[in-house]
Amino acid sequence: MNAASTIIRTGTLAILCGTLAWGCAEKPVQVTDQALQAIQAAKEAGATDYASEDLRLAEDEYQKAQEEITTQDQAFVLMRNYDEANAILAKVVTNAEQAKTKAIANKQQAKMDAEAAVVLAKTTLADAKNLLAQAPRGKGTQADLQALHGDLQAADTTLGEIDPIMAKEDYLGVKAKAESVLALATRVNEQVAHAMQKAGKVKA
Amino acid sequence: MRDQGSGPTLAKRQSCWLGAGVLFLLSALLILWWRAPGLPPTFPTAVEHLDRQIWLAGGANLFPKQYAAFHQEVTDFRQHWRVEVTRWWATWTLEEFTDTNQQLMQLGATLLTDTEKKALFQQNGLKDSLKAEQAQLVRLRRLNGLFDFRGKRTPLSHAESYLAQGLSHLAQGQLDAVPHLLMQAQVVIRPIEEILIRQMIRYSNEKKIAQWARWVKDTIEHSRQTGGSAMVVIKASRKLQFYQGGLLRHEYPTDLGFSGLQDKLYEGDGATPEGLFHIVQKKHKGETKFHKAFLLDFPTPAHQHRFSHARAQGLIPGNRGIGGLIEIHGQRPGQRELTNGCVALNNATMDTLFPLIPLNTPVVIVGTLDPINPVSKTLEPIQQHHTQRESVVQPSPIGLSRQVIE
Repeated sequence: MNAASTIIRTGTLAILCGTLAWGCAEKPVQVTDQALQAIQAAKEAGATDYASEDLRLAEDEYQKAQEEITTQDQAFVLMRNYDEANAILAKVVTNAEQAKTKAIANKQQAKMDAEAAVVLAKTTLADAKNLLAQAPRGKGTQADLQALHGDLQAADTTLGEIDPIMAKEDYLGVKAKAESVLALATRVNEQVAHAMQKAGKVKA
Repeated sequence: MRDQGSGPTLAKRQSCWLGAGVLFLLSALLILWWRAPGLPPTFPTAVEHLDRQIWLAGGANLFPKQYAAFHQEVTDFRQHWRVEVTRWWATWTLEEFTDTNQQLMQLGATLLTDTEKKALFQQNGLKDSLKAEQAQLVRLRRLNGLFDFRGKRTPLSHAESYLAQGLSHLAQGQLDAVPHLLMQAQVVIRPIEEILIRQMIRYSNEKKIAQWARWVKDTIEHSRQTGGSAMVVIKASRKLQFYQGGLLRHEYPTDLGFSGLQDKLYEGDGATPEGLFHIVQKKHKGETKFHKAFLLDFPTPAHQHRFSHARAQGLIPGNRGIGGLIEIHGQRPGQRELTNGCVALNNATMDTLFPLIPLNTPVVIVGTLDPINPVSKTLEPIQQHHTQRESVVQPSPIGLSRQVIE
């Protein structure tokens, strides 16, 4: 065996091994798992409600990564290359983490807004109850007073529904209920104040 | 010998490898040349962005079939591109690719516009429905104190709470929560509205108004013929007219009970009876807690007949009787309400009328004399909204209204 032949054989073997090593590239299983976990974490952080656009972007990228993996899976064994899939999955992780961060921030903001709305609703309702107790009684007021008591009763019932949904972290629902309590209590306040003004009493 | 023979062979071999290399290079260049005007190396993000925009605008809910088809087409388009770019030779030209991309962009742009329009329409529709129900609530609440509102006030407040929640959800962009809240409010409002419409409809009934007008005409005619006094109470306008010798002498404002615009049916219903009556007793100061009073001959045989008929039909709650002691009276000191089913005047008016009204004076109490009266005017928009809603709303689940209404 001469030297040239040895070089050729060695070279061919090296090329074959290299090609095989390249062609037998591994599927990005671990990165796929990481991407899925990142999406799941974003969802658990409330991204579906509080960062839907970012979550959707991550999910779209994940779908693209799966398409790329499928394409590579179907390619000739020596030609498979998962680099693109890896790159897309890395973007999925980044986007999902961004969705999670945004969801946490937005949810926290929604919680603060809901809590503030509840405090305002409770204060206004307490004011309305006090004011209604001082409302002038007289000619033709009984039906009006009963209607206002009805308002406060409904406001109390709605307020009682807030704690369970607050526990479920449905802050948008909490805010909606608190705002409805506020609307009822505000009307009572306004009507009683108007009646007091009419009757010559000065609102406390 | 060996050296002589190996020289040309090696040179031949080297030439052969060189030739193969050149051939390989040319083939590669040919392939590259063939692929040169081919597909873009990265998939166009605009169409993907458009897909996402449609989804965010609510396309998946508003146009589920169209959106699913569009999304699938984008996916297929991308998949096709991916397969093409990994091939050694392309089966798809750049023109074909560009055409498909443009078609999808146009399709997506149309779908996005339609979705945004429909979303806005849906949002405005929900807002209008919530506002329309709020307006109906305001109209119904105005009847408080005129018609029987017992057991209706708190449910109406609940309905108002549902509507306010709906508006809040709408403002927060949560459209999905709104239809249920709207339906909850409508389930409460609808039966109350129906009861009130039934109570009010008499004030638009031409036959009924004609009957009331006949009673009034006969009473005034009697006053004219006898030269005596007569009193006409018109409930819708809350007026008491005093006649002498068939001529209207004075008109006074009155107050009625908590459902005074209804015709009295049973004891404690707060309604003021309608019909032809006579004063059977004049109660002086000290004989009544209402300053001074004229006691009427209620119930008349006509009222007793009506009561018996209603009882037979099960329309009288509990062991209620027909009631009595219907008076035209003055004010009770310190009392919140002037009356619970009588006709109330202020004390000064009672003092003026008292010496002018003898025993047995005819008194006629009617709903209205005018087909266009405050009640019919209020009824019209209530009925209009009710009819409009019933034409679009499905029947509510049985039992829910009973659960909510006291």
